[in-house]
Amino acid sequence: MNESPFREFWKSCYKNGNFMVGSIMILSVIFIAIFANQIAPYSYTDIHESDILTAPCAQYIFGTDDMGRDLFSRIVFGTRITLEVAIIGAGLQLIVGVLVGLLCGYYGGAADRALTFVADLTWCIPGMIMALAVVTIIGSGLIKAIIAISIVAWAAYARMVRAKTMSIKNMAFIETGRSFGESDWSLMFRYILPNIVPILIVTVSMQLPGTILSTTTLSFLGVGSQPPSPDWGLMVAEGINFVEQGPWMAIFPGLALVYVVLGFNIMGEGLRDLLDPRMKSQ
Amino acid sequence: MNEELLRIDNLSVDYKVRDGFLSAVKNASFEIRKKEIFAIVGESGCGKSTIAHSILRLLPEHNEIIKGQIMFKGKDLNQATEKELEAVRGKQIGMIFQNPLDSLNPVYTTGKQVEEGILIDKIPREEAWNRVIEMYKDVKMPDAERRAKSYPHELSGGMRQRVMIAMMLARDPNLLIADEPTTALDVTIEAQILRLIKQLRDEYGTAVMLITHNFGLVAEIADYVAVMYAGMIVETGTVYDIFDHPMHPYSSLLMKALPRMTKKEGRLTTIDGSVPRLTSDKPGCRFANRCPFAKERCFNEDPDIRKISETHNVRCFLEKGVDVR
Amino acid sequence: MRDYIIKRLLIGILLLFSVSVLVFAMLFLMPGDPVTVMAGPLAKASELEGLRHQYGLDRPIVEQYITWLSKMFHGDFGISYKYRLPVWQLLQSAIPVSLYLTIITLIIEYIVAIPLGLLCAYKKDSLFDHITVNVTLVLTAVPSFWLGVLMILVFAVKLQWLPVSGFESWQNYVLPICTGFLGGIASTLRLVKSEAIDALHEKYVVTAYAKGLKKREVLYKHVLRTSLIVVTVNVFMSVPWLISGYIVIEKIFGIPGMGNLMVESIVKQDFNVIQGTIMIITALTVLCNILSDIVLGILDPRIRISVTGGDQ
Repeated sequence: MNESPFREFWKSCYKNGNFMVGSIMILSVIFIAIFANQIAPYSYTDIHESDILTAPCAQYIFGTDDMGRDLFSRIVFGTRITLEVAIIGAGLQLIVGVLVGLLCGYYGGAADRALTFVADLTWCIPGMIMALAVVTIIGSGLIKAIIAISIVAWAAYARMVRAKTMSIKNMAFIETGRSFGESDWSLMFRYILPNIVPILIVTVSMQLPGTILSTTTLSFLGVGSQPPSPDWGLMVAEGINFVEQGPWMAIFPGLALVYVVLGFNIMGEGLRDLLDPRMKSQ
Repeated sequence: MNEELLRIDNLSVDYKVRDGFLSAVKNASFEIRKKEIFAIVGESGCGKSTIAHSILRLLPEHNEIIKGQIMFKGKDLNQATEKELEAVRGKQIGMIFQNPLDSLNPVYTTGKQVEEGILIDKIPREEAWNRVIEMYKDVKMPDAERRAKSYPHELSGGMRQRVMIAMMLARDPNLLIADEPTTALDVTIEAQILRLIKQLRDEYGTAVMLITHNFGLVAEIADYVAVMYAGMIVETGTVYDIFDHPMHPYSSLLMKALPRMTKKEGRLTTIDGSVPRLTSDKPGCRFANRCPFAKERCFNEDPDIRKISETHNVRCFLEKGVDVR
Repeated sequence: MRDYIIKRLLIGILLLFSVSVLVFAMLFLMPGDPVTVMAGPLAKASELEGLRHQYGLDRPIVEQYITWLSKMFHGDFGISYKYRLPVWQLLQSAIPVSLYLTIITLIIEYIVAIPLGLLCAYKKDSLFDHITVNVTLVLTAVPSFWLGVLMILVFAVKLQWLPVSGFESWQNYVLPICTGFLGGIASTLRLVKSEAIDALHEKYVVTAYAKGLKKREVLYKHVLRTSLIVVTVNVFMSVPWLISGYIVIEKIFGIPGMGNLMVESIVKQDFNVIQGTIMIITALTVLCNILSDIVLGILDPRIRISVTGGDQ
């Protein structure tokens, strides 16, 4: 009883198996990304001309690709790209989604109706199609692919934040704040936003795996990361042509991707139990 | 009028919860005779609905342990197989619920749902539908033929409860369990539905087990009453026994709270304290912590049922009863 | 009911109109002169002026849009500069291929997901449920492009049971359909399960038991029937999503469907084809949405009433 709520929260985190397993998986990826230079035996662009398409062995534990590059090193450096996608993607979607959701939910009116319509519109166009359309316009590349995916995904955040804001803004403590002369801006960011944070975290954890998968898919299709980037989607695409001579080229990057996405998925399940008891009961 | 229909003997219901067991009903005993209206009154959460549901084994979560005997027409329903119970449900004992909107399937017309029960008895479809219309007329449904083709959402709350009653009486059962049948309805509709239940009892001779938290309602239509507190039946008797000579402190305090108030306020706000959480099966009277007359003994021993008269039983140590009025 | 359908149709038309404006606007959002965008990088500078007039790009923009739209209604989506063929001709051969794959996948997916999902809901927290939940959790983490590669590796290269790619015989379709099926089964199964769990907890299920119905009848008439409403509606909703999911699969297995056509044209900057494929798929999406709304209205009387106000 005399424990701080913070400590109590950590204790329940500790007890939540899903959250712990997922976090450890993600932390291991972050660790690899930070120490990529120390972990990888070679640079991801090093070409070993005499060792083209070598099967996994002591020297190249994941084998080499058709240009003689060490796959293990490429996958290790690829963690950086994946995390980049996760951070930039989630950041972009959050900033736009939260801002739009807060403003629409708080002020309502014509702007709200217009934005709801836009959000509905993006909702009824398949995400991949829209992302490809955006890429057609703004061009290829990793950052552009992330932007394309975020343009598709922000609506989910906006929708959620808008609904929450609308329900919170009528609560008594907002009235109290207003009577103390708080500005709209302060009410939105200092009163309403903190109350949305838990469910926002849950939403991020549920959206992130999708963002990573879609961005990698764009890379696989050739409109995301460009060679010689060690993007895992791109690496699988390169591996397809050598499925018979060097299946490891496609297998290992895909496995790495599954590991990361699964990590986020499992952590997300745990977070949902921890932060949103209402969702848990379903 | 004195023939026994249902006898509950030492019924206990425990719910399995995360950290052990919750004792929802403890050692409940009472009997219902043919054609009588038997009311169980108590605060919400006191276990009265649990008793009602466990008679037909309809507790929704399937995490309960039922002990004791539920003798219906000489057969113990607690020992019955699922198949035997299916033959009892609807045919011998009907049951209506608190919220008639949730209790009706929104995707079928109400008539279809009533008919579904009738068809169990292998009655030709046309005849079954005629029976539906007949039942709708019996429960005073205005415009019966059209309403039978309406969906639950198209009916008002009172009409939905009429549908439920029609559904549950269509197979002419001996007992109708009514679990807070009017709680979700307006006061005016409440009176209509109660009058209907009483009328149908007189007409069909169906005994009624009425579960309610509303004492006023009990006084209006019940023959016999059981007062329940925190999973225990503390007093049983005829309406006159309970209203004129309450023996248990809880009933007396309730009576004291009742007459001056309108129905809505007649709740237990005037009794201090709150219901204890009943996780463990610790001994002692469960009302002791709120009872103004509690002695040390009340906290340590289970009081036994004491016979006051042929019809009147109480579960309390106080010999003479109490008169708080 | 009639009011409901009319309302849905109006919303659908509004959405279709908005989508068409967006797709039309793509031309002007593209970097570079619209005429080069449309004619492709191979067009000679001397031709451009003539083409500008031919495409009507010197007309006011609203007029251009109306011309574009009315042409599209007549099946004129312009010319693919890469194939030197009308876009409609390309679409005509690609659309049936994609639809065929999608519908077969959809059928298999629901045949498997409905009984599995119901069983998981009914036996919640059993060993079977736990296994299914964990398998679907893993499946959602597997990107379909990798799954496709694994399929080729195992069944085509190592075991040599099935051909790697092509589209001549039914065997060519087995691996793509399996890939699509595994990619979509997880979400469908979850939907069926959560719907069935909701239905199992409804009060009317208790009523059905209280009426004296047998367990089988209760499960069939009250749980299954009601939980399948949303699931049925979802069938219609998922057609366009499956088509877009098939973009990747079509590329891996070299299937000449809409997805392959679209990706190909994006890489080659074949604008008219891009525009045509996007327009067709989004139009299909909107149509499927309207259709699913109408089906929902037919299956669930509550929807009809909430729109028409009932007859109380």
